[in-house]
Order: sequence, then C-alpha cells, then structure tokens
Amino acid sequence: MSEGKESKLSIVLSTAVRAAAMCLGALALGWGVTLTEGLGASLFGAVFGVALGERLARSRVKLSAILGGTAALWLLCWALSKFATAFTTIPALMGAGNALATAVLLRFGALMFCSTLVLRVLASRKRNLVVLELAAVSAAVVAVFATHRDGVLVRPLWLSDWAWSVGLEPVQVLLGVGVGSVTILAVLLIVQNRGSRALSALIALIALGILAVMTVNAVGLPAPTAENDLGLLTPPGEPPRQQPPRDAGDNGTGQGQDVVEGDAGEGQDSGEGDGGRGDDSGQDDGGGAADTGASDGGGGGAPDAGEDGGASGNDGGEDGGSSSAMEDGGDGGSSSAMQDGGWEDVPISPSSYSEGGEGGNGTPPPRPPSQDLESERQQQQQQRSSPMAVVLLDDDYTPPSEAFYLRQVAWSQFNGTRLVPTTRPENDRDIPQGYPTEAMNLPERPSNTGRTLVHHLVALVTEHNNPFGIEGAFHFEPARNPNPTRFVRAYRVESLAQSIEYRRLFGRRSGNPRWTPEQRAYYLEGPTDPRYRRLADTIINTIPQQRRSDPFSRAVAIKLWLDDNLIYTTRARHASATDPTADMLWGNKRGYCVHFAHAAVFLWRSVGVPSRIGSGYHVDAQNRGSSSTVIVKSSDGHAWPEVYLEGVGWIVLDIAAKRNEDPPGQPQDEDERDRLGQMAREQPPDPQQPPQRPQQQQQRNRAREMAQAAAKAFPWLLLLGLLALYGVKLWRRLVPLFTKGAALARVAYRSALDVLAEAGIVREYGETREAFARRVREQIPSLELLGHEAERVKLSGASPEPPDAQKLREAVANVKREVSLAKPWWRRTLGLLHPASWLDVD
Amino acid sequence: MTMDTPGADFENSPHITRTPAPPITDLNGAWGVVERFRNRIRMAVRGRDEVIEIVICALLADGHVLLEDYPGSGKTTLAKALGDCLIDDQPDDIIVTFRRIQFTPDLLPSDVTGTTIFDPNTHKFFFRSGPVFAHIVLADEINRTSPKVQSAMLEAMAEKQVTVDNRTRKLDELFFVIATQNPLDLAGTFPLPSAQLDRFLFKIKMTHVARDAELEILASAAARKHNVGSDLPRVTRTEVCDARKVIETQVHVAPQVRECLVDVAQNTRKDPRVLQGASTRSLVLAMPALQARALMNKRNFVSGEDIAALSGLIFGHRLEVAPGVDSVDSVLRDCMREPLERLARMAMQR
Repeated sequence: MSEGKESKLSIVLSTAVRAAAMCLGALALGWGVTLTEGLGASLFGAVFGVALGERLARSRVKLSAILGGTAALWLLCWALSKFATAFTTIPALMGAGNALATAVLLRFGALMFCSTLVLRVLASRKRNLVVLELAAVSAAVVAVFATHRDGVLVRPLWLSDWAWSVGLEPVQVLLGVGVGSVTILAVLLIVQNRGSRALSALIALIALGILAVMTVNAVGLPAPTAENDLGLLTPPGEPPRQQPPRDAGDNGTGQGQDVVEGDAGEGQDSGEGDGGRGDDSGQDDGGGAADTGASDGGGGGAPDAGEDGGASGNDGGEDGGSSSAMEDGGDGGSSSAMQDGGWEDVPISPSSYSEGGEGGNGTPPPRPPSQDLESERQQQQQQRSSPMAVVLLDDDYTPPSEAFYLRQVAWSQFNGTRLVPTTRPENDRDIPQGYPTEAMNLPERPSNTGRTLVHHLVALVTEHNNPFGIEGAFHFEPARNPNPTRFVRAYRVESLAQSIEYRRLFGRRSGNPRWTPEQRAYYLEGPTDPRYRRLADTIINTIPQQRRSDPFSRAVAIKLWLDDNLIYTTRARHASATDPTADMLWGNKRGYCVHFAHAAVFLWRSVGVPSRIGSGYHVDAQNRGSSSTVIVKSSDGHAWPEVYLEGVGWIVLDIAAKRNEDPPGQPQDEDERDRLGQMAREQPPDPQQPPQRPQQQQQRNRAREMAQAAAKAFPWLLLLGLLALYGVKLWRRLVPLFTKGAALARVAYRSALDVLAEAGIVREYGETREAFARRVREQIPSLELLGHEAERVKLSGASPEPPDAQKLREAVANVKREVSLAKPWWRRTLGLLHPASWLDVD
Repeated sequence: MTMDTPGADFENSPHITRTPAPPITDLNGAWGVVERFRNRIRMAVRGRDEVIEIVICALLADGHVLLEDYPGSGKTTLAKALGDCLIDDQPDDIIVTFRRIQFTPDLLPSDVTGTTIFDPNTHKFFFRSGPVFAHIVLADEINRTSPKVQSAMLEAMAEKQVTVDNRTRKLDELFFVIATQNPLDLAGTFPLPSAQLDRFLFKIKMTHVARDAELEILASAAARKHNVGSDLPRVTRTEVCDARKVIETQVHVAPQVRECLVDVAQNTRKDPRVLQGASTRSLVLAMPALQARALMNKRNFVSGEDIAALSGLIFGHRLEVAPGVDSVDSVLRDCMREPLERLARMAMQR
C-alpha cells in the first residue's frame, strides 16, 4: 500500500513541478502581451492544463478525442471572448472594463489551458513527445530573452526593477529564471525516462540551449552598450543621449557646444552664458541639439554640467574652495547620468539649474570627481555618436560650403552677454515655430537668387523641440512616419538652399532693404566692449583698400583671421568669465563652435555686417556620398555664424579653425546610412495612426508586429505541421521496408496498425494485443502473427530470436489487402487523407 | 504375475508402466504433454474446451482448481478424464493415479487422509492411506463437509503432505485436486473461508454448455460409453513433473509483465469496492500459471493476454468485494485495464 501512495505522491509532485515550469513559461510569454487578468488566467490555465492533462493521459480516452475536444474548447472560448467584446450588449450589461477583462481571461486562460493540456497528454502518451513540452517552455523563455537582447530589457518591470535595486543584472536574473524552468523539466525528463531516450532528449535539450543562446546572444552582453544594431540606444521612451553639438567645420571633430546652454542654464557661465536669461530661452537653447525638457536636461545639460564643472573647477582650481553642497549636486547630476553609459536620463530641469545659478552666481561651480575621468568619458562619448535624424533628399543638391547646414533655431538677440533666440516676432521669421500640423509656409521666404529649390524629408529618430531643415527652408508639411518603430516623426521640407558660389557674393550690400532701422540695428547689436571694433578694424585694414567697404569682404576677412588664429578644442572653458567670447578671443584663443560663432558675429556686427548665429546640425557633404540619404548624428550638433546679404538672404559663413586639439571623429558608417535611409523610405503600415508617446507607440508597435507576424506565419505553421504529420505517417508506412533485425517486428506491426487505424479499426483501451487481434480476426486474420512477433521480441528475454522478415512483410501486405476487402474505398481514402490517424495507434 | 492372479488387472491397466518415458527437456516436449492431455480430455468431455484448458493449465502450474457448477454439468467427467490421461510410472508406491472423495457432513478427516489400523496378526499398527494419496483427487462438493475435514484436505493441498497420528506422510509431487461445489444448494453447507479459498489456484465458474455442444454430447454419448479415444496417447506422471520444470525455466516472464501483474494486484487493493485485495501468495501462485498458459498458447513468453485471461480465475475468489458490488469480474476488469494498457503500449515502444 505504501508503494501505491508513494507513486501517487510522485505523480502529484511531478505534476506540480511541471505545472510550475509551465507557469514560468506562461509568465514569460504573457509578460509582454497581456494584462494582469490575462497573466492570472494563463497561470491558472497552465496549472489546470497540466493537472487535467496528466489525468486525461492516464484515462482511457483516445488521444484523438482529447486533441479534438481541446481544440473545440479553445475555439469555443476564443469565440466567446470575441463575442464578449464584439457587440455592445455585453459591455453594456457588465461594463466595458469587465467585458474586456472577461475576454482577456477567456482568451489567455483557454489558450494556456488548452496548449498545456495538449502538450502534457502528448508527452504522457507518446514518451518521445516530451521534447515538445520542453521545447515549448524553452521557446517561451527564449522569447523573453529575444525581446531583451542586447541588454535592452524592459519587462517584467517589477523583476528588472527589483534586480536593479538589489544590484543584480536583470538579464542574468531572467536567464536564471529560464535556466531554472528548463532545468526542472530536464530533470523530470531524466527521472521519468531511463536509458537511451533520456540521453537523446538531453541531446535535444542541449541543441535547444545552443539555439537559445544563439537567439538571445545575452551571454556576455550584460552591460548595455551605447549602440545596438542601428546605433540606437533607445530604451523605449527615452531619447538617446545627445552629444554636445560638434563643430565639424573643416576640423571635423566633436565639440561640446552645449556647454553654452548648459552654462546658461546653470548660470555659472558668466561670459557666454547669460546668467540672467529666462528659463524659456534656456530650454530653447537646448533645442539646438537637445529637445524635450528631459532630454535637454539629461542629454544636453547633464554632461555639460559635468564638463563645465570640471572646467571651471579646473580653472578655479586654485581657488581651492568649492562649496561642497554644490559639488554634490553637480556630481550627482553629471556622473550618475554618464557612468551608466546611456541610461543617463536624470531629469534635470533647466529651471532648477538657473535657479541654482541665480542663487549661487558668485559661488564656485561644482567640480567633478576627476578631471581625467571626465575627459575620458567625454572622449568616449564623442566616439559613440547615435543617429538623430535621417534626411532624404529628393533633389540632387551639393552645397557650395560642402556641408549641409540644417538650421533649427537662430540666435540673433543680444542679451548683454551672448546671443539668444529672438523674442521679437518681426525678426528671424525664417525660423519655424513648432512642428507643422498641416502644410505651412514660413512668413519669410528667401529670394530665388543664388538659391535652388531642395525638397527633402526629415525623419526624426529622437524627439526634437523644433523642426529643422537645410538652411533656406520656407515650407514645412507633416509626413507619414515611415517606420514608427525607428522614427518618432517625419516631415517634409522645401528649402531654397544656397547654390551661389561664395566668391560671387562679393559686392553685395548687407541687410535687407525692407528691414526697418530697428531691425537692422537689432542685427548689429553686440557687446559694448571696444576691443571688438578695434580688432575688426585691424583685420579689415589688412585687406586691399577697395574691398574694405564691401560687407562680405569684411566678413570673410574676419572669418579668415579667426580661422587662422583660433584653436579648436572642446575642452575650452570660458564659462566663468564675464564675457566668455572676449575671454577666448583675448585669452587662450581656444574654444569651439559656439565660442567661434559668437566671436565672428560680434566682430561682424561691430563693423556693421548684420549677422546672427544659426544652430542645428552640420553634416559633411562627403558623408552623403552618392546616396540621397544624409544621416544626422548627435555629434553633428553645431552652431555657426551667418551674414545677411541683400538679394540672397542669410548666408552661412562658418569658422573653420586651422588648428585642432581634438581627436578626429569617427568616419561615417555607410551601411548604417543605407539601412536607416531604407527604413525612412518605407511606407508606413498605418498612416492614420496618430502620433503617440514613443513608449506606448513602441509597445503597441511591437505587439502589432508580433500579431502580424503570427498571423502571417500561422497558415505556414499550419501547413508545416500538416506536412510533418503526413511525413511521420509516410515514414511509419515505409520504415518496415528497410528495417532489419528485431526492430522489424515492431515497425511492421505498427505499420499494419496504422493501416487499420486509417480504416477506423483500433485497439480499445486496456485491450491486450492478442485480444485485439482476436476481435478483428474475422476481417484481418494476418494481424495476429504481427502482434505476436512484436510482443515476442519485446517480452521473450534479452536476446530474442530475430523475426522472419519475409513473413512479416507478407503479413503487412496481407493486412493491407484484408483491410481493402473489409472496408469500402471511401472509408480507406478518408483514412489515408487523415493526417493524424496514426496518433490513435499505441 | 499372470492374468489369473488378483493383481493382474492392476498390472495390465493402461494407467501403469514400468518403463520410463523419454525425459522432457524443452518446450516442444512440454507442448506434447499439453496436446496429449487436451486431445484425450476433449474426446471425453464435449463443449468444455475452455475449462479443459484451465484445468490443464492448473495441472501444469502445480495448482489446484475449484469448480463451481450445477450438478450434471460434467465436473466429474472432466476430473475422471483427466485422471484417465495419467500413467503412473511408479506403480510400486502407495499412490495411485486418480481418487474421488465425495464430501458429506459426516465425513471424518481420517476418511480423507487415511488412518492407522491395528493388525492383529502382526500386533502392529499400519497405515491405510486415504484417497488423497493419488495423483489426481476429485474432491466432490467440498463445501458439504465439516471444516475439520476441509482443513485436513487443505493441509494436503497446501503442503502436499498429510499428518496422521503425528506422523507426516508425503504426498506425490504431482498432487492435483479438482474440488467442486454447488453454487446454489447452500443449505447445510460449510462455505470455504477465504483463507482456504486462497489455496486454490483457480476457481472456475462453469456455465451451461452451449446448444451445439450439448447436441454433440447427446450424439456422442453412445460412442463415449465405449471408450472412444481411449487409444489416444497418455501422459506419465514423470512427464508432467518434467513439463512443469521446463515451463518454469523456459517460458520467459519479462519484468514488465511482472510489473503489470503487481499493478493489477495493487489496483485491487486500492479499489474502494474491494474489501480485501489480492494476496501476495496469489501472485506467487500466478506466475507458473501464466507461464503454463503461455506455453499452451504456443508462446515462450508471458504476455498481457495471459494476465487478462487468468486474472479473473486467480483473483476472482480471493477478492472480497464490498456489499452492494455486483460482480467481482467488473471490478477486476477495471483494475486490469490500466496496467494492461501500459503493458500493451510497451510493445510499441522502442
């Protein structure tokens, strides 16, 4: 009696363990797809499915009946769940939420119940099919990892959050869960199957494991790297870290332009940064490279805070005393943001910075933990540059400056320290204010002279505050998002881009004749420091007499002088000076694009050349190559000086310092360019879809992609399954022809039973083989010999006499003949077409 | 000895021989024994082929059978035919081939076992053997006698020995009891307790003879009076014993078959309809029976079919079912189904 109890206990135990493994699988699959109700339902479904499957497998119910019944149940539940939400009556009766919950409960519960039940019954009745069960759980776990590959892990949030909170790597935790569930099943498999079958199953398991590792590729990838396949480091909803815009110019090196904005926001940069500037302008500043409030703070602000802190700490290192409170704040803001390599997004609101700045205007700036570390990090970040947008050119256009200037904002208003975006509506009317909701023309359109019409499409990889286009843009209109999983939005731009050669610009008058005197004065306003005028005059005096009055000649002369005399480096720090531009110009002459642009504009303005700073992206025309795709990267952020010439409008006249102290940037990845370009050209699946928040959108997109893929794959899977069934059938039919030795008895008998099963003649549950043969003896007399031989080989000791192959094959042929005599042709044809008739043979 | 002497009948009887038959060493020889029994008994008893098979099976399995049937259904004819098949090749011992005991309430144990009698000539007691000293004993209406006699009989069956006057005497190795009882006429009977029923390997419930067989019985009645088929070959005692040994050693019992048998027994113990399940002794007894049946079906291995066919006979009288349960057979069928299915599927597994 105790034995019976024990075996019962072991059955209960193994069922419980199986149920647990199935639950893990259900969780793994359900996490990303369903709600809490659905998860609960799938858990219950898995448990009951395993329990009932175990029970059914031990019952006398035919396998085909179980499979058919389960399929019917699933269809019923599916139809019910559809029904619950398809009509208004049920939601009206029980409330929309309840109806939805019911539908989810039915759908997921029934799905898990039916699938686990079928798997369990199959595995229990046909021992070899245990592999199916194992594969299902493994696949579920693998699916989880596949969605978490490359370290981009999202779900289950509670698990990964917990893992983070206790300092574990979530990938490893998930890996542990997966390995655990598969191990449980594997151990069960080995315990319940002795001998060669367990071995073969183990080999299959190992193969599955290798497959899993290949699919997941999670091992060795615990730390999220800056780039995934597309260089897009985007945990859903978070824009990638924005690099400090880079002064590529001719130097082509990355630079931290954002320092200015960051400084300004912090109010620590007393020179270029304007401590007294309002929060709004600070945010807009950030828009030059960084866009949303969060990304401004995190992307643009945080590293800059660190850098600046570092710089000014360095500068003021002799001061020695930096307030520890501030230091902590600065460190917290910068280092935590950066050390995790891309997970930075510590929301630092510009307003808080400016408050801090205002409050502590005179206090020493925060200092980073280590200057060296800071710069190392900075360099690393410069090397990692992620795409921000894709520009598709419809017209062939090569700018005379050999670089695409994608203008987002313009800084023209002098606030006493530096230039900021205008606050007056009549100025800079060629700058778009926000994204187009419909086709819109900007109030100011450049003249056609010296300019060519360029149509292009901009697809944003990360959200920006303001649209941008090739300089000279006058028309914006919204466009379909070509690939919502990659791009956050897209719009079309028409630009009248500069086509006139620079040398043909000489001799033109500066400014627009339609400008009011106030406007002209606005574009000439600069610092009162007389040194600017003096320096500008000195420079202009070096050019030939007849050219000295020509505004463009003056501008070019100053540009060339700046090219020769300034030294490019992103490590330059002038934020602590009252006038950072002067600090640079008459100091160490080291700086980057923002400093240079300010220097140029201040010098130009001092000699009466109307000018402003354009900010946005600068992409080397070489990067485009022969393709029509221009990839805009975070490292392309830039600010450049522009002059206004009569007839042609704003002309970019960038400063390209000849001396550069920064390491060269990374070359353009052409594959990446083509890939992204391809994506941007694709037609969107659903053009009507309203723009959503990126996280939701990505989730929905993922779910929809999965659903679509499943729908697409379903008929093929069905066909594949059908083919597999027919394949097994054919194999079982043919294998007696070439089997030798003792095994022939079994396979010959099996093929005879297959033939009988097709004709609907099957052994009853609990019926012995002899009894079965006796029952059908009238119709199928040849079966007896086959059954006897099969049993003899199995039961008559270790080395049974091999059966007479000739006789067995004859008997099989006889069985076929006898069946064809006993059953009508249509019944046999029906059986022949039945793909799973052999499942009833056991 | 001549034909005139009183012992001449005995000496000339076809049931004794002094020349040993060639020994039986393989399954073919054992099969020959089975065939000879079968042919002879079938000639004598018509329409009872199944029972004949079971009886031969029990004989080869060294077990006893209890026939439960109505009067006049051929029990005695069967037992006698079986006895008629045997040849005693050790005619000089006190054991004869066949004896019949008609049990009555006033029977005494010594009537069964024999008793010591005082011989006034020698002034000594000598043992006069009872009817159990035979190869085949027909214990007719065993439930009609008192438990005392029953227990004497049952000791002989279980131990193959009798104890008279504190002296234990061995019975022959081939000691086979066919007991009968009437299932209906139970007035004044002493039903066998289950412990004693356990000593019977099989309890056979005979049913009425089918119509065709009955017709044949009537048609052949006259012929059978004249010993039709008496010239068919018989079997010697030693041959039966040899066949038993051959069967025990040469018919293979796969471990899965043993598992199946044990599972059936376990299931009977677990079944709520059963008060007392199959005993372990019954399983031990069952093994040779399964082997014998396998041989009789021309197999050198025991299959699930043997278990299915014999379980009812082996376990039927050993199970005590709860009140209200109709038949032991249906309970047994339920208990057998799952182990048999597993055994049957095993044959299809690699």
